[in-house]
Amino acid sequence: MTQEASESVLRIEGLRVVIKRGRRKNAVVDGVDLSIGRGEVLGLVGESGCGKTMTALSILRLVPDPPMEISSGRILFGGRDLLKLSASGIRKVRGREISMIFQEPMSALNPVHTCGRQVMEVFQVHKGLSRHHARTRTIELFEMVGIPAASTRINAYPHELSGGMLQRVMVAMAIVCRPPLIIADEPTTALDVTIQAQVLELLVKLRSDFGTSLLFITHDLGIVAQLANRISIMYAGQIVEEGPVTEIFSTPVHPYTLGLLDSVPRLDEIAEGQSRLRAIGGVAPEPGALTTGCRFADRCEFVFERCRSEVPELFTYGEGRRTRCFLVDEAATMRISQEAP
Amino acid sequence: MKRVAHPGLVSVEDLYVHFPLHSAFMKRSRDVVRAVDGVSLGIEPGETLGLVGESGCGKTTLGWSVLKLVRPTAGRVLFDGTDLSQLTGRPLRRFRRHMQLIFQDPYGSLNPRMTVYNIVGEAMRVHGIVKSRKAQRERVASLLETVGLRSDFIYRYPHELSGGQRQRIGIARALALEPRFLVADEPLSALDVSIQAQIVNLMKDLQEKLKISMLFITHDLKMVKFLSHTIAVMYLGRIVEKAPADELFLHPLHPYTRALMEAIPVPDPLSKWQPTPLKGEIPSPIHPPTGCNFRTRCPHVFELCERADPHLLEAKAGHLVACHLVKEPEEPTS
Ligand SMILES: Nc1ncnc2c1ncn2[C@@H]1O[C@H](COP(=O)(O)OP(=O)(O)OP(=O)(O)O)[C@@H](O)[C@H]1O
Ligand SMILES: Nc1ncnc2c1ncn2[C@@H]1O[C@H](COP(=O)(O)OP(=O)(O)OP(=O)(O)O)[C@@H](O)[C@H]1O
Ligand SMILES: [Mg+2]
Ligand SMILES: [Mg+2]
Repeated sequence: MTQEASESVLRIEGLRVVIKRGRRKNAVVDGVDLSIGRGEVLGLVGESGCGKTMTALSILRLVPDPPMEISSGRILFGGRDLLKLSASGIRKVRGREISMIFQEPMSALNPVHTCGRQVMEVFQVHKGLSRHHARTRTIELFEMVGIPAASTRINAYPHELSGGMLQRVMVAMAIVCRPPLIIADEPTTALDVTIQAQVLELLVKLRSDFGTSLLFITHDLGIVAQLANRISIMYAGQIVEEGPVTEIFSTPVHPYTLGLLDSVPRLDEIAEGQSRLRAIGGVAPEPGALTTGCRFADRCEFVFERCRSEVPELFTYGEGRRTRCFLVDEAATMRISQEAP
Repeated sequence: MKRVAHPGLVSVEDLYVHFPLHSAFMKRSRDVVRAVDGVSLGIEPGETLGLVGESGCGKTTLGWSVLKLVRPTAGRVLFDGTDLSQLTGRPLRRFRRHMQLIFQDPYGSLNPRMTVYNIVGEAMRVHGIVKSRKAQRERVASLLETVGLRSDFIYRYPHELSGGQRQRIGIARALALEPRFLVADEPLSALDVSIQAQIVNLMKDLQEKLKISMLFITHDLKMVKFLSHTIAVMYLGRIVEKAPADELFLHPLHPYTRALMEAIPVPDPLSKWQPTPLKGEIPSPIHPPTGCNFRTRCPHVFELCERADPHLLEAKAGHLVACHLVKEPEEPTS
């Protein structure tokens, strides 16, 4: 389901987030472009530490400053550039128009208030509900996300809930205002697969009922395959591949994507006595490290001379596919354009 | 191993952990959360016991109480034949060195004022494993490398790391002392699949080389299959099924185990993944259902389930299950 650019709810252009160290500025997010259509689910995947969370936090202007800073780019949402809004302007967007499910619930919840109170507050502040109504609605929401004994559990403090329950509290908090865009940063990592299926179903229902768009950050390629319309794959601060989910799974092009898909163990393949799982060797370069060529070159099994001397652009081809790899430029473009109907 | 393998390196005997509950007015009510509600298990030297189960069913609490980080309400835990609840002070600390935890929540478990160098290296110095600062630095750097982090992370503070990088610091810290027993609570949840594979390979190596015993808590059924010898499935404070890893995946008997296996998202956009969602109310550990505690969500519930609490029985050799549907031991199961 590719969306027309004009329909996009959110468009990020040339986003750059840097860490300031003395006079040096190292980019952890280095020229990221993304767009999400109305009712679309964009899956954002990539190596641990590649800049997914910082990209997401930038949208709500929540990157920790200092030491970080959004040094350039535009984030277009609802006809405005979010990066140009005043402090009070962006506060009005948070929670009401764009909400975020944070990767580490403990970092987002206040440990001295009960979880129920923290969700009730969102109802009171954003929806203007009375305490009593806010309480009733909070209990309803807790039940919707599958927290058992909701009317008792709203009195629990964060440390009294399990990891997965905290994640469900975060999900509940994010859907209070039914915002047009939800950013979900690893929202189901602590859920067993049956509850995970229930939470994903809830998000899918929001999408079909209200046209909610979703930026879904996850390491679980199973979830991406089942939930997302498109995927963007990030590596060392940049998008390296993007396209419709079916195409990326059937014809991945960037060697990092290939390696990632190759590392997914399949349940039926794990046999007794198997001693190793496949992984991509090597480590990613440090942000801001001087690279003359492709950032993946040192780990790439298809590396050739050009990769070391020239920086690959994000080539666009086919229907909404983008790849940052010379392989596309050299051969794959020809092949893919021949194959395309 | 020098010691006798019986009754296992770690043995958990009829363990209960109940938490008191706050009422709306901050008074303690008489209700409790029955987080762990009668669990017995044994882990042999070199064995990995995988623990999977519903979110909130008590896995973390069980892991913590095995390490004596939570006080059990009843029951006991033996480590190498010693009842840890009887120990305090220095003898306890001596045991502690051999038992490490990878926390589920890296954010809350890393001291924000310490650098990675100290977080990972401190215990080594305390226990005299490294003699000099130089040796400590080298050892920390090499541990970081094994978890896929560059050595310059040594000087970082936890807030200067991504979620998955913090998680790997937690892993490096737990491995620093080469423990004999490791509780790994969701150690892979914030890692991409390639780094997951790398860490899991590392854990497998340690298992084989150092004969580490491990309680591996996870929601990732593929990883649990890969790494575990035995798998226990937990639901609402209890073990409902336990079997050798391959056997469990070939012949899951408990309806909850089957539902779990069906709900794994398939990494293929063309295959239609439609888990039949478990209907019914998710029961609460405060007022667990009478009879079988899975019956509120069980697709096969029948009259007996409400009346009687199914016991954990050996359905076939080495395969335990608590379900009224599973016939008597001798009869063949379908
Ligand atoms: N305060 C800081 N100082 C220096 N580097 C930082 C700081 N905060 C984050 N970083 C680095 O920025 C990079 C991007 O971090 P980010 O949290 O966006 O990663 P991520 O893609 O979300 O990873 P994960 O999947 O592990 O959560 C990481 O390599 C991290 O080490
Ligand atoms: N300190 C505490 N006070 C009160 N209740 C608690 C406390 N710690 C845990 N609980 C409750 O005990 C139950 C078991 O929690 P636990 O964290 O062990 O679950 P879990 O199986 O690890 O779940 P998850 O998979 O979501 O991490 C939950 O209902 C939780 O709310
Ligand atoms: Mg992150
Ligand atoms: Mg837990």
